[in-house]
Amino acid sequence: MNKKINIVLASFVISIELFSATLPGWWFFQKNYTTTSEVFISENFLRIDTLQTISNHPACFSFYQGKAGMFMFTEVSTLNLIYSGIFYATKLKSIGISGGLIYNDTGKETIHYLQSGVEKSETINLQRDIFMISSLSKLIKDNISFSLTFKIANSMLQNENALAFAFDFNLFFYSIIKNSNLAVSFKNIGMSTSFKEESDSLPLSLSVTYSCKILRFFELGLNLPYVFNYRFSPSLGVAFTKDPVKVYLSYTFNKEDNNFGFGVSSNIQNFEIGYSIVPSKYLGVSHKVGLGYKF
Amino acid sequence: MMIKLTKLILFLTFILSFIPPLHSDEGDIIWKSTITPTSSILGNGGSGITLLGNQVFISGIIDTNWTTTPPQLNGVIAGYDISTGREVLLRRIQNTLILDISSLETLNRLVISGAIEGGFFPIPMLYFAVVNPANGNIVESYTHNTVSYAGRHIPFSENQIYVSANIVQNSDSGFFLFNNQAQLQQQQISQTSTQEYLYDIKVSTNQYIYAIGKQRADNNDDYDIMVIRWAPQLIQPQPLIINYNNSNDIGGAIYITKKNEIYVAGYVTLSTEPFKVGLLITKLNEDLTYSWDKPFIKELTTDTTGFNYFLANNFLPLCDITQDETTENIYVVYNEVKNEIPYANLIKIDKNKNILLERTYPYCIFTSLVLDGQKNIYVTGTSFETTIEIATWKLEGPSSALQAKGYLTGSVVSEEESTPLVGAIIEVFKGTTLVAQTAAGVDGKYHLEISTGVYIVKASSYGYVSEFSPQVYIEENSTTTVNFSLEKVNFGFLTGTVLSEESQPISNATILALQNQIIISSTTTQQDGSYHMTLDAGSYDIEVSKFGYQTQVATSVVITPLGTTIKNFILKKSPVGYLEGKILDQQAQPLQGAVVEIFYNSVLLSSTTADINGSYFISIPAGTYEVKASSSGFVSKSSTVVIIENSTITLNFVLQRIPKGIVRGYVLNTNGEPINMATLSFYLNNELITTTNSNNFGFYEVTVPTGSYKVEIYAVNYQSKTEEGIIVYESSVTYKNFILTRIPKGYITGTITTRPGNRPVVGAVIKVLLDSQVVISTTARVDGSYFLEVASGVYNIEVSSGGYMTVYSTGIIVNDNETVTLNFVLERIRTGVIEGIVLNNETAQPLKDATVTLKIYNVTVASTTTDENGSYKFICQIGTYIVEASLAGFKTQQKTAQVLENSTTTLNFLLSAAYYIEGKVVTSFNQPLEDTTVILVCLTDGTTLQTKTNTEGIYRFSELIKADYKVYPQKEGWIFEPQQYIYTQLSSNKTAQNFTAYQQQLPPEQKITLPIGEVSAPKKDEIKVVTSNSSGKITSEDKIYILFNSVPSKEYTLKIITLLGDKVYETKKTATDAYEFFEYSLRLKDLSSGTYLLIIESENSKLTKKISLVR
Repeated sequence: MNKKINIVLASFVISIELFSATLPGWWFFQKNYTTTSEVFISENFLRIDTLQTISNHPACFSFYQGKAGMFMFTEVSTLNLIYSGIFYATKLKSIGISGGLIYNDTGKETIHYLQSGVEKSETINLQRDIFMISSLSKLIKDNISFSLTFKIANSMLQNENALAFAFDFNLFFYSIIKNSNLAVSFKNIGMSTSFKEESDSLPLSLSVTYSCKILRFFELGLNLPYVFNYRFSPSLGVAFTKDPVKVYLSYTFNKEDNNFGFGVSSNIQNFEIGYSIVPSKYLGVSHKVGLGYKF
Repeated sequence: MMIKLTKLILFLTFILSFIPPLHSDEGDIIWKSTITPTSSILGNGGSGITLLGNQVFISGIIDTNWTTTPPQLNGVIAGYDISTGREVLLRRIQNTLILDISSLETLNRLVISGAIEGGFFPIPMLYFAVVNPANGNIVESYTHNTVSYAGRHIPFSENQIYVSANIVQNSDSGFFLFNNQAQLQQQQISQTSTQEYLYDIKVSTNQYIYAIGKQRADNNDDYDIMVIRWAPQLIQPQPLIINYNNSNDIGGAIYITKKNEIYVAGYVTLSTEPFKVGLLITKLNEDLTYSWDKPFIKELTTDTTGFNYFLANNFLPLCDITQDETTENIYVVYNEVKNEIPYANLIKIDKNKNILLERTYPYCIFTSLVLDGQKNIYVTGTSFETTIEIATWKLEGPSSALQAKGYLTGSVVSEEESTPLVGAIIEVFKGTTLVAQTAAGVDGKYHLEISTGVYIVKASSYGYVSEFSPQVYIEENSTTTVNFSLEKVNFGFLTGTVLSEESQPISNATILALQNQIIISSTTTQQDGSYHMTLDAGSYDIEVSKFGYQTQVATSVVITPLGTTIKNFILKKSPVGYLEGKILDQQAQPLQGAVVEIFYNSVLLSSTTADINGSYFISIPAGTYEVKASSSGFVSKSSTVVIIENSTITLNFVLQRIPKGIVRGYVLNTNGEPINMATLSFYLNNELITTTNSNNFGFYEVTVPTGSYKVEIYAVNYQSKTEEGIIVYESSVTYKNFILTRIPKGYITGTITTRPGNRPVVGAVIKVLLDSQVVISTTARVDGSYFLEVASGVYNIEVSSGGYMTVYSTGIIVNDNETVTLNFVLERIRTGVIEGIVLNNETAQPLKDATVTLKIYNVTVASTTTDENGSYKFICQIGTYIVEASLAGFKTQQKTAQVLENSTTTLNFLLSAAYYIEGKVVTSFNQPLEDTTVILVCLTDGTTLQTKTNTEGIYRFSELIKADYKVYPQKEGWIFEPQQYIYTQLSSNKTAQNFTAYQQQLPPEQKITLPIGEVSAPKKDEIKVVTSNSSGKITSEDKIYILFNSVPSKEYTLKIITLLGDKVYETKKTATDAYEFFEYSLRLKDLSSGTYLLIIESENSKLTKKISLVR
């Protein structure tokens, strides 16, 4: 089984990377869909941020004790960027199914140009994206689960549209060592249409995420994502958990901006609430709030 | 006659000027309605009263003003709803004296009689008119062609109205008969020339006509009561002269019963030494023989002011008489003066002259009365409550005398020890009239049986401060408890005299009571040199000073509680010098009567006037003074002189005549109609020069010194107006008209009732508030109803009554000519307590004298200050309050409190020390820069505040707590030096945080030449992106030009990052011009489609802009 998967993945990588001359596009495929950082996948997080963690790592849905849940989030920034979405996850016998809808808007700007030597200006919508995401997850061993995610997105830039679809594969190793979990993801295997003349490659990435509990209330997380033909930007995080509240701080290397992340979340009865803030040098401070409900 | 009236009214006004503010005993008054004259400098009043359907109508004299030419003496007709007293008609009739009013029921008409202006007022002509009661319009009228006036009148039928008539020029009298079209049918005037006047007239069932008045007695100046009868055939009239005591008598009113019994009332002189006046009531037979062997006489209180002379000589008959036909009891209203206070009286006697009832109403004059079927009495006359007003009262019928009783009980204790105050006096007042009193027993308790009603209770005990209760409601067979807790007196008295060395009293000497050099109290000595002060117990220094005398101080004068300390002073004269001189005009003519005033430090010390030679002489203590010489019509002059002891200084003045001119014109409304009695105030250099009023035609004229005037115009019911720049030239006339706009008005009405019970709350106070200020207020009538007239606007309404919770209604919109109905339901007061402490947040120490305020809807309902423990306490009605604690030097804090019945809500405040930052923004020429935005950023929490500089360029941020701050100004087109002030942990007030503003030298719009053509320069702090794509898009085929403001020789970096924060491009450039640009080829750099952030950075600046790219 694993062998077959590896072959399929490899063929996708080769087919896409060979034709990729520019930087990968569809960058919002790289954003996570929650208020928490994806570096944390420990048991603490599964306990408090269950729905959020499932959004980032659909494979871990197999270890979710509840039957269904719903989660929504919104991110706004002082640079007038809006990013929000809604997810629903439920279990059908041994298979977990989840789906969501995400909206991304980067605002408007005024661009100047010359027409017959006369200066003119126009205020345009920079970028508006909407994409759907759906995942299937299944336990393949007592402590290993697997997920397959399908994404389809429409992006509109300066009133020009393009379509993209992609698959994600995710393996989740629960308690691979005592109090530590591991996830491996292969994301954005797919293709897109062009806006005008040339299509962009998707941000194909391979990432390994490891998270372990240290001491009683603390947790360390490490995420090693590699975006093919683009960058390697590892993240490191530390979190403090005291039921029902969790606070974390993370740092991402090899980035010009948005390196730090700080968040807090809590689990009160069936509700899951979260807030995070990402300070920025250029992009404006962004705030993200999330609310989940477990059925 | 009218001249005499003028004198009499002037006399009345003189007397009334001594009358203290009114507190009317409303006793069994059911309702009272008043008409306030728009202007009234002399006495006025209601004259006649009549019933028509369910309305009562009165006539009266209003808006009197004898200082204008021609004089103003207007009449008024008003109507009121019988049950509520609410005004249904108010109509002024100009230049008319209305002396009586009657109703023609079937025709639904009113008739009035009196006098109207004829030619040059005040020459009157008898006037009779038929009036439409719905609007007060004159339907028909009659004016006699001689100097004459009507007294009262009587409709015999709806088409036969007999009017008593006085022909002034011949001193004759008689009657006129009018039909209901105001056409004269008959007249019967005596030709005796015996100086007779008729005030009242009635007709018997067999149509005999009876009138009453006065006739001059032979050979002296006295008058006798005259009753006169005319037979239906108009044969020679038959008079009856009542000469009570060979002195001055006057007949006032006459009444004829259905049995043709005649009752008359008047005033008689009982004795001349001493002077005593009485009320006379007597009964006559049809043939004018006496029915009673002796008249009923009620002696009136003799008043030294001679007011009773006025009673006997007034234009109006100041008494009236009527009968209850079912009981045959007689009711008379009459008036008297006691201790300079007018009292109206109501007396009821039976046919055997036994007094059945007496009522007295202070500060009123009753003129006319009428009885309805329910034995209610309606009275009109004059009320002196707040001003001189025409008033109409409805009095509860005497048959329903107050019999129901209830009980009043309670205790009186000392506030400090809570011990009973044995023998404390309990006094119960109805209005201002003491109706019952008792003393507290050994247990401090008292008990009274008292008629039902609303009362005020007073408790007093020696050595304690007396206390009044709120309104107390005594209900039938129920007990009302009112307890008192009296505070101990802690004050005593200081008295004494101040004399000169010659033992002459020194008046107007200043007495100061000082403690630690601080003035605690002050007073001045009386004519006899005496003084009296009430001071808290303690030790004082008493300082006595008087110009011309040496100041004296008595130290350590001790005042004991309730004790009287006597301290006398003998002042020595200050040494004096002399000032003399002459006051002359420019032609060296003496100015007799010119005033010379001596000032010391701007305080007037002494003055004198120049004699026939213009000379003056004054002696004053040695010193340096300002001397001012002034004379009417001349420019004042001042000079400084030094007076030396025993020396004479000569100081002459030559005064210049003030040039004058005339201003005249009209005051009109927006329809061009004249506005009467508008007040025009003329100001020259903000000093009031003169005031005048417009007349009937809106005309005014003033003679004033030359100059540029500001004129303020005020008229009742109109919006005031101010106009400036009205220039008056010497010996010239300046014409100036003023147009005023009527103030839109609306009405608020409704009822106030209780819950539970749904009973009217009589006397509930309804206040109309605008920004917490009371605009107008009224009280609820006997049926709980109220009515208010207010200018259009949005108001809050507050309704309160003793013993009930105050209720509010906010945001009430009153539109022009519209009525808003607001009913209120009051609940009995339920109280709780809010208490707490106010502490210093930094030291946790209690804060004394902090002001704690209780608010509802931002309306302050109570306020207190904290004691030395920082404690405060409110006992208040239940509800939700905003509690605010404030103290100078600390940041004000507000909290919300819910007060529950009989429970205590604790609310503590921790006030943080507060500081302020202030400064001035000026230009480089040191001129204040108004309207500059000054921004304060709290660096600790990121919050910002902003303010603007005022006309003096000053800004201020107050109530700032200890934190890090940054302050900087902003104004388009200006730059500032310094750019900002920064404060670390602000812990003191910062003053003079000034900024100097320099006008920014904005370059003219510049053009920048790009490889693709010329474009305009970017704005300050802006990145301008120009695409080479002529359709305005940015594709991979295009170049973009990134333009920005730059400083030559400075290095700039261009960065492009994705919205995930990944840098995809960076380049640098050193600027060579004020504007610079980067050229960027998207194709070359192989960026994918998407949104990117452009960043241009230099050492101290950073600019960003988003762009999107499509491939």
